Amino acid sequence: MTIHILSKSPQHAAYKSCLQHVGPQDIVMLINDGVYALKTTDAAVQELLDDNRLFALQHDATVRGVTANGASLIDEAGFVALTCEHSPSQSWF
Amino acid sequence: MGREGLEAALAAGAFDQNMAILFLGEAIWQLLSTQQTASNVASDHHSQKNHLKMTNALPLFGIDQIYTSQDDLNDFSLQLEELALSPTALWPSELTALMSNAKTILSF
Amino acid sequence: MTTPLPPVDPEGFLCDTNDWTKPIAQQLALNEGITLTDAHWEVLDSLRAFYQEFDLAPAMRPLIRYLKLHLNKHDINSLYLLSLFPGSPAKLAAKIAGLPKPENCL
Repeated sequence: MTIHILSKSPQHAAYKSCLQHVGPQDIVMLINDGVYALKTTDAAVQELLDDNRLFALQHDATVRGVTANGASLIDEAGFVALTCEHSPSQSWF
Repeated sequence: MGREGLEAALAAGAFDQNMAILFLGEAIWQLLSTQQTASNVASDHHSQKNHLKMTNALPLFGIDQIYTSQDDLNDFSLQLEELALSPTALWPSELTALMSNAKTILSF
Repeated sequence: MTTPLPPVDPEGFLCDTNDWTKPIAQQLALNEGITLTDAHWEVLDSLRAFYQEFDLAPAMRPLIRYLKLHLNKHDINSLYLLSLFPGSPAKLAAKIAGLPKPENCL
């Protein structure tokens, strides 16, 4: 089960590649501008939300004025824990 | 993004990390051996640097597992012989296997 | 007797690598308390060749790999470089060779 760490907004190629590569068991962690995914209505994002497989860094969402919209907002400690529970970790830049 | 990825690989290589590097999709163009540095660049010197020169340093940084995708080569009508560093071309199933064996993956 | 230096950055690296000459290298070395010998020169020449070839100033490990290949000296190691360029060899040798500060270098 891969944890995909997504730090780019929906306009970026990395965002699109990431969502294409998410497997059915994988989870996605949104950080930095990645949290803007929560503002979209992408089918891929919706599917992750439905399965509780979408997480976002609370701080990064708050400073950008983005609300959870169904995703789990977690702090740094939660992010570290999530990374430990999943392998491999795949970071998208 | 080619340069950032390259710098991350070189930095990790300088610390003797065991790693493979994959050139997928458009990244393959970064290996095209015929690329040249623009000689008439006036201002933005940095971005005009020939990536291939730095890319060629990968083996000296201990990075010798260099791969690309056969499907992507076919899409771009490229031959393996046109690429620097003699990468190994993998089929999708081989790529998936390689990536699922990795502990950490950085995608640029 | 001192050789006037071209512009350098706050850390003493040449601002323009094209300004480099052998007398300037000798002066840069003297400023670091080093008198250049043949052993130093072969490292400096290899460093400049490395930069020409790869567009980057190498950190220690790749420099050693390159020297082994280039000088055909398989006994070169970090201790050897430390004896020539004490402290931080990759950084110091790059400075004297007129290259930018090595990236990925501690």
